[in-house]
Amino acid sequence: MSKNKNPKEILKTACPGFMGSPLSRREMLKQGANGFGLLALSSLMADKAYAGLVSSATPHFPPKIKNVILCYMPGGVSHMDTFDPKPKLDELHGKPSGPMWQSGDRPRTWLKCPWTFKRFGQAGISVSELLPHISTCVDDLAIVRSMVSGFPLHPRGNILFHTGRNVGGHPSLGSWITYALGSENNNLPGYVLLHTGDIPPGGLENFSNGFLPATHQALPVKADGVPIDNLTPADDQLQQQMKLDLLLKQDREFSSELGGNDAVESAISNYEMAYRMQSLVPDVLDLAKESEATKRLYGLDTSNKEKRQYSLQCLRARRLIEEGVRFVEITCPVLFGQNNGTWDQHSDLTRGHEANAQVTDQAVAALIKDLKSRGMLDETLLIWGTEFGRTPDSSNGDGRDHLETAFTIFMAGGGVKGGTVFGATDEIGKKSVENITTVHDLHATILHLVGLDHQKLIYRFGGRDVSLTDVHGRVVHEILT
Amino acid sequence: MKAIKLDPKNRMLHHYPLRRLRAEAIRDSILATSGRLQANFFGPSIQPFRKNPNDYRKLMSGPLDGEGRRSLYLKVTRMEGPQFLELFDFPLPSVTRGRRDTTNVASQALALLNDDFVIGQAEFWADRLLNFPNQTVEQRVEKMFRTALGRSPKDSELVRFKYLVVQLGDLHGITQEDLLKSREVWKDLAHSIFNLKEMIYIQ
Repeated sequence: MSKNKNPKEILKTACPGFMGSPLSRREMLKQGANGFGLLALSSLMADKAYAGLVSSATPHFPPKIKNVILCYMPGGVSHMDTFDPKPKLDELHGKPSGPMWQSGDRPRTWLKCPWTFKRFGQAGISVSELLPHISTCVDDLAIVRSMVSGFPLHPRGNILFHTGRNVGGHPSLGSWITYALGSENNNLPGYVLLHTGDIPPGGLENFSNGFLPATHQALPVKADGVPIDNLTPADDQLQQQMKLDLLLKQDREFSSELGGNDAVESAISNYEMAYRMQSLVPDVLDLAKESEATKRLYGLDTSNKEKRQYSLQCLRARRLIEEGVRFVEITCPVLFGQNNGTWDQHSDLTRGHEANAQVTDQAVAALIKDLKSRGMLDETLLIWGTEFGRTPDSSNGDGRDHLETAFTIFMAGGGVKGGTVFGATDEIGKKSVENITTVHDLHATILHLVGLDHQKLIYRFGGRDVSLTDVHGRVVHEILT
Repeated sequence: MKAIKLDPKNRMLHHYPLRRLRAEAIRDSILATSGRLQANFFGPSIQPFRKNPNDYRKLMSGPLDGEGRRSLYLKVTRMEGPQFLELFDFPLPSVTRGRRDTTNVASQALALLNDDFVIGQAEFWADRLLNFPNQTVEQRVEKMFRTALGRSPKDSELVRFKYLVVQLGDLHGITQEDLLKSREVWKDLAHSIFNLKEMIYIQ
């Protein structure tokens, strides 16, 4: 924190509990060493008691994209049933595959993919019939078939995918990006989590700002019911305005008696922002202005409740990035009452994966198509990902278990080479063998696309410079234009 | 006064700098002000109120006002701290934290304006104030200031708050004589006081 050599700053950080000495804007500007461009950053580094997001922060190099949408598929999507065909399993199907994992299991047997694969797009990429909509977009996708994660456990896997660490408490990818780049809309948070009431294993730690300022935590927005905590005014408008009028006068007086304290001033302006958010945010989330054709594209006309919720969130994601929200994550609803993530089909794979695909496939494809037709895909990165893959064998004939050594993700959008397949697993899909790509590599690549060097994006915490990728990570240039 | 002249920015720490209360203290001072605080020591901890309790993850919900117990006695679960406290930089329970942040974000304003806990405490306080119907408006505002801020209001502040009382009375359709008996009006007044910056920033 004390990299700033300005003696005022050193004094300011020297004593714990020392906060916000009265400092006018003019004096702030006069701290000439940093100049105007770094004004926001210097105040951010010296004093965490600031309001809003920094919008003047600059990337390390020209970015390819402005916004990121992460379509997260918790639970572990089976790679060999979606994007990674394994014909060898057709031969082996039903034969014993190895020892039982726990007593009481049936002997494990190889399990072929219950769906057929077909080639799609000019690139002729094989995708399973499980995803009839996403498969029509393959020419826009860069599919990475050689992903590896560190852990075959849901909470660890989710937290690794989001924060680059296997334990909670570190900042999420979205927090790092909004911390580095700020938001383009000062009335909205930079990082929004669109959920349907189910938070993936690992909990809110997945979306936490960790040790970064709390401004950078995800704002959770629920599909149905009250979308955001405390956003619905407790008072009538007039009643609230009367109170706010009094508060403004009272607080201004309090602040001026203190000589214009920065923290108090920020707290006052937060009330103005809060007041605006109460009407602005519901407006952004409201789909009244969307055409019927657009709603149909996303599948909002469905009678399936979960699908409607997911479609709603995908369409909201587009609206949010249009408004300048930097990072939007969409998680899936949990079907069948499982609590380990949507796609965790240890049994009932056929029914479970089909139901989940039904809920998510159309809306993800619609999001890609909609962004493209609006010319927004060039400045947006869409990632479809999961915490790990699933085993090529089964303990019950219709289910797959956790597999951290191989899984598939895809990316689409600006700077991404569409119609690409990168990496490969072995012939039964048990292990990534070619161009192995870690979650850290994925993070480095995403940061690269938003104009950030993963080795330079650091934050001093606990006596060391901490980064999202730690000592790992390689930008996967092979899938970039 | 000489010190302020010589060191207007307080760089030499001639007085203790202004600071925001910590999360626990914010909740506790709302409870103390409303009169709901149970200041007793010991006893079992109490589950914090959660908007989305989750049995499977052992994230249980407790009463909205935590039965008035001090925030110290709110149960902290590794996965999720008490939600109201987390808004005011209560650290994540899963990591060690040498020094807390003091963030200043709009969600804090939204919580103080709209959270059910804050509204509930404003009602609780209002009900207690209504037990003294023979006060004047000035006397009641004076009492509220002393309870919440530990000081008497200045004349200009009295005028300001009296004006709000009259405004709110009009809004809620309360006659002049019934002003001191109106739960609505005094709930709103209590709620306004909870939202004063002076409540959470101390000198």
